[in-house]
Amino acid sequence: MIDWHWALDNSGMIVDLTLQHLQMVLLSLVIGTVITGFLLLLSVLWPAVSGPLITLSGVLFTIPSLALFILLLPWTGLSMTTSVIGLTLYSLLILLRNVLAGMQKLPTEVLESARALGYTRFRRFTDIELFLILPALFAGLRIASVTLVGLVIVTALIGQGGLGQLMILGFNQNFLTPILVSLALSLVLSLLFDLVITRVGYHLTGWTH
Amino acid sequence: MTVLSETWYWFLQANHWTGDLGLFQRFGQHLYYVLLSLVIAFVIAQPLGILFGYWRRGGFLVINLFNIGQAFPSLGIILLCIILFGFNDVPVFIALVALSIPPMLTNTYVGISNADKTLCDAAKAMGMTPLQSLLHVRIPLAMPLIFAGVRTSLLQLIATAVVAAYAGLDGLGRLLIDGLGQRDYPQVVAGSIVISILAIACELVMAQVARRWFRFTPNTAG
Repeated sequence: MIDWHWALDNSGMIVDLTLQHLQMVLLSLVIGTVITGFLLLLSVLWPAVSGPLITLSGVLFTIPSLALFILLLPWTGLSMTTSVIGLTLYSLLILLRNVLAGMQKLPTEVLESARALGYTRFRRFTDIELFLILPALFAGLRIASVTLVGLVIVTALIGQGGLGQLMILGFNQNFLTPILVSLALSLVLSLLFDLVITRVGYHLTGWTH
Repeated sequence: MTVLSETWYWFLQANHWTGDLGLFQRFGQHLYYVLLSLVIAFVIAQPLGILFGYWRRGGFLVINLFNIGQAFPSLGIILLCIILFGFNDVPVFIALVALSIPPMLTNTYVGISNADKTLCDAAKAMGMTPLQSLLHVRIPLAMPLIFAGVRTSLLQLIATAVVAAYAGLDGLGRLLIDGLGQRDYPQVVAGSIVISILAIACELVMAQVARRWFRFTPNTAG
């Protein structure tokens, strides 16, 4: 079923595409996390913002991935920038939903002690809430990473795509091996992300266990 | 920015709306593919979900099936089916159906197996047979979750049917795939706008239906 010779002969290309895949997911995840932090701060300083933010992200998340990438075309063209912006938007939506849900479940006694101790709203956010929502953030990162590994494949249709390129190649040559290789590798990548994020989250949130 | 104004002119031309390759036709095809796959997947997933949920067995399998389904890229599954089963619409439908089963199966399983224990016991105490308690108690209680599963599958299908155009399926995805191939960006952007409107409209309708039908459980229907 799998032509191992082909896989060996093209191992250089396969590694390059896997790394490109990894690069796109990492870039989008990191940018997504940073923007989520900013939006969270915004919703802490102006609580009225959080409702519209949730609605907006819900609507954006409904847009099919390929359509979302293409709606960015007039601005950034068929480039990696387009893919990364689209992927970042998706990760943002997942992260924001998780983090805002986490903010609503913070223990009130902690928040009230902070207030009694004289924390300003901003300091309470940076010193206390930011740490207490870490479990919610990491739960979101896990979902986002698995989703993104799959979504990068779709960007192959706009000329990017990491492992998605292998699928297109296999399809065009009516050749099963590249498709199976890219399916297997994308599965491995999402498992890897899941494992690493769970581990890092476990170590950073030591107080929960 | 010129692409945006060209897209506007694309929408203004009458022959882009009517005729064999017009928006109306493509829109109809898209809905047909999505609904047909949804119905087939529904008929397969619901009995299985109810059965597994009632037995409270196979939960591990069902949940893992869902996770694996999430991790497998839809484009890859579609192309794999084409290469394995030949180049026509049937393999694409197999892929679409296979991809929309896990959300429904998982939600139905969770809904049936987690139905309120007290109510199930009450049904038993009232002398209901297991089948009656399933039909009159468990399934109605699970309805909000079952509906949420259908909603997830519907949205996923709308998106996957777009990608499936790459493998030769008709529908709105053709505008995107053909346009990309011919570097006809106004058409590509126009197609994306129509697809986005379709997806958002479906989501809004489903949200409204959930709110109407399941007013008794506002928290699970969303």
